[in-house]
Amino acid sequence: MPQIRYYPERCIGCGGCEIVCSLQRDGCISTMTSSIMFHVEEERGYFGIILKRSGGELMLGKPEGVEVKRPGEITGGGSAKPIAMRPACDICSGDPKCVKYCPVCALEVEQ
Amino acid sequence: MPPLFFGSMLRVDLSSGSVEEKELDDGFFSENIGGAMMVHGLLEDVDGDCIAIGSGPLTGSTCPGGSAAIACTRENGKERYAPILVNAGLEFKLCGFDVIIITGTAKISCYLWMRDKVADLIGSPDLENKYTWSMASKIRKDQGDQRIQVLSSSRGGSASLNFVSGWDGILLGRKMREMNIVAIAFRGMGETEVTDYSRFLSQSSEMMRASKRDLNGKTGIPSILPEDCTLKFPLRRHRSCSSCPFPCMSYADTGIPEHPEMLLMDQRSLISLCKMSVPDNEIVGTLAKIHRHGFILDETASRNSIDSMIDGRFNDVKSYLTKDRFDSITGGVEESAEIAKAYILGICPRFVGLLRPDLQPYCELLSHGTGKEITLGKITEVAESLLRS
Repeated sequence: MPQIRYYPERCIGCGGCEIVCSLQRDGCISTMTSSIMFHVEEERGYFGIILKRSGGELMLGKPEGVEVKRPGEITGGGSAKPIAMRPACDICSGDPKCVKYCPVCALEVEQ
Repeated sequence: MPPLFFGSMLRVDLSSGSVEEKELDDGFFSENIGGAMMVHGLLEDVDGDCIAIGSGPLTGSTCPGGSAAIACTRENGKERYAPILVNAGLEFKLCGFDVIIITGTAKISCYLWMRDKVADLIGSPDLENKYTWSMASKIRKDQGDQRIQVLSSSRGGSASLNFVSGWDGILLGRKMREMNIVAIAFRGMGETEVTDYSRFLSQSSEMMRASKRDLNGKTGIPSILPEDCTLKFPLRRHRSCSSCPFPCMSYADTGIPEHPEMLLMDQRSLISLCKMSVPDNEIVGTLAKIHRHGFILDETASRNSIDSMIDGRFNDVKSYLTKDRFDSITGGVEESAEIAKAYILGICPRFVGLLRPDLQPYCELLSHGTGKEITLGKITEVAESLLRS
């Protein structure tokens, strides 16, 4: 099954993918319902994304590289709604809107 | 609930400690569009000095450059506007209030904490003597969420947003301190409706890609500095604000253990430091120390004034105040009708001032979002009315 792949070295931290996901999924602007969470630690200049894949796997897109964790291995951050409680990415039925939106091609579809 | 908004404003009277929510009807948004015009309209019913924050219709959306909430100070009848950027536009947009207006003076120092249509004034004498950046760390720790956005007051005059400074040329930080409100904190846990979300999304994706082409490879803070100002220290990573294709900011090492990295947004101070021939290895550390006290440098700044800022001799230095009513936060970008439009729509004024995008597609996007036709002529009319007022 195709999946979203993340290239941290290209990412500019706009976080648009998070908003695109909620807009496509629920027709509203929100940071609480998307399958992608933008993660930033400002004092360290550190940013990336967490994406919940089908089956509950979490893809951690860190500046130092990408890691995949199985369900339950991590909680998915201290957000008001942790990513483990959110719906998994369904790649928008084969036409992922976050990939189309990303201005720097930091997200791509991996077959 | 009107599309792209909550239909709600918050009035905070620090003197009495009251926090009151009021509804805003759909007609209000049709007439004023949003952002600075909405703030200006609501301030007509408010007496005296005050501060206000509002969101534009495109703030926090997928619109390219739609990253700005709008801060306003009014002093002696004069309103000035500055953009609240990075991730804070988005988080303010979704905190549950389209506008907040703060008046009066608190009896003990306090901060305002807003999330999910709830707002509280929290007494905080312990924050009073902290650096601006330390307030952000403390409030995030106390409230238990690293995504909380904190506008912190300062003795120097300019507020900080979390650990980013240099965007407040309207003395918001000083006004907050005078009113005894040390910080304004918010977290966006709500959601706003988008009428035709499918067209909104497809059009914003097209605009995002087109904006990237217009950038022509510009990246990082060096790309917005004049040719005679070359940064010779390492920059770690370039970054943009929410939903912006232009990464005009860069991270650099500060040499300060508690804040090892800072995000360089403050183009104006960097130009001043370059002109003063501050050694390359001292520029970022110096800027961090100035910013934490709430200072921005202008072209008249001297080495002596910097020493006073760092040593806390606040009476010896003059705070930076923009000459413009709508600050572009970018040297070389003057106030204009286009900048006023950015402040109405919730688009970053630096993005509009430097890239000069055609605003027609932005109006089409707005029409998809609201479900009502909003023409560029209407936006121009509102902007001109705002500039005349």
